[in-house]
Amino acid sequence: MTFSDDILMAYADGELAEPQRSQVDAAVRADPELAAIVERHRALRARVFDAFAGVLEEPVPARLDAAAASKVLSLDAARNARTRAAATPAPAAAPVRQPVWPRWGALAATLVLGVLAGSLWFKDDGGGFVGADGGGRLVARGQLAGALSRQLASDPAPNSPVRIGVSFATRDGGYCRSFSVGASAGLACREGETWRIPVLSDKAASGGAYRQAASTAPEAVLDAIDERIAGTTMNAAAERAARERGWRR
Amino acid sequence: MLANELAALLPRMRRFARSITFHREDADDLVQVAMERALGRSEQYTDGTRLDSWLFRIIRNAWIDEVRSRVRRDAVFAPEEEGEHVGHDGAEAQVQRMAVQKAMSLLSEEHRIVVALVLVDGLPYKEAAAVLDIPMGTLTSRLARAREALQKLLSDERALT
Repeated sequence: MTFSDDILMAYADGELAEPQRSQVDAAVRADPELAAIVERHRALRARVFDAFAGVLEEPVPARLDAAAASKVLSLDAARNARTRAAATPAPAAAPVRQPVWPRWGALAATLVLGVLAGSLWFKDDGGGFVGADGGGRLVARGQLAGALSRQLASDPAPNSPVRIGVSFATRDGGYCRSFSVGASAGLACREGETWRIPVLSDKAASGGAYRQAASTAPEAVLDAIDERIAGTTMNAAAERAARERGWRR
Repeated sequence: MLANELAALLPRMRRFARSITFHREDADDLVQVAMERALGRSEQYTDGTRLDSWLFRIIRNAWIDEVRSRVRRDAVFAPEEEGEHVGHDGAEAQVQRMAVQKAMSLLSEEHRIVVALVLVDGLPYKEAAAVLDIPMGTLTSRLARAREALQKLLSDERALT
């Protein structure tokens, strides 16, 4: 019985199923030439594996680690990081590289955009959900801003992509509202005429199940609420009254 | 939660990207772009299927249709910094590793990616075929050709210096 090189390769890689494996096994034992071919396949595999094995030992760069470990955006933290980064002079010999984030620069690099489903959130034409204010902080735009100002948690708008979770008065005399859009959820706090977004996070996707009705806010959002809330969340009447006042206290 | 599983796979994602791009920065850019895509499309991930294969597929596609065009065109093979991975085995092993990396860089894109999936990462043929969206038979013959080409390059010392 003869075996093609592809079969011998698959055998060397441990990819053959019975009964073929036993057949090749017997042939390799009986024929030193076949054994040499299999050995070459294994040696090459080991050599290639070894050439890149060291990458696994490297510390993962912070920009990747942070992105995966926590899809939470604290723009304040990001801004501090940027300030620190800006204060660190670049090494003189650094090659000029095209930025990975052409449009949003440092801001986008600090946003884990997966949370934001990319272009749906950021649009230059004002149709997006969020933007950056002059200080590089995340603020609500477009439909999100409109929903935060007008929609009531107690009276969900069926045609709006935005769902309001809870509304509450804050310790520093303002209002914040939790919201969700698709698979993302966040907290928005009224500042002057804008809704600033101190935290935006992915909903804890349980195994990728997409539940439109999921009302559970991510832990990061709950934490942000705990940090700010004065008393309890507002009932429908209080919410309406706050809306009438334009979210000013 | 997907994010935590992603974090656990980061070292492998970086290794795969490195074996395609050869530049630490380009590789990490590639992983970052791929992660952005993965997180943005997490609802497209089918529960119960292998997350690693899904991610590798995203990395490969991000490389082919986005990141590849951004790497410096004039970039010749830039080996890892001297002493980068010099472990307990010293300089000779380092020379060996550099030779393999150099040889990999001379392979066609198609061959390089299949080698990266099966030999570098160790994905089973079935998963590698799924990543590349090709039938098993195609995967096997492509891998065999790629190995042949790589072996040839490695035995030609002049090509690697």
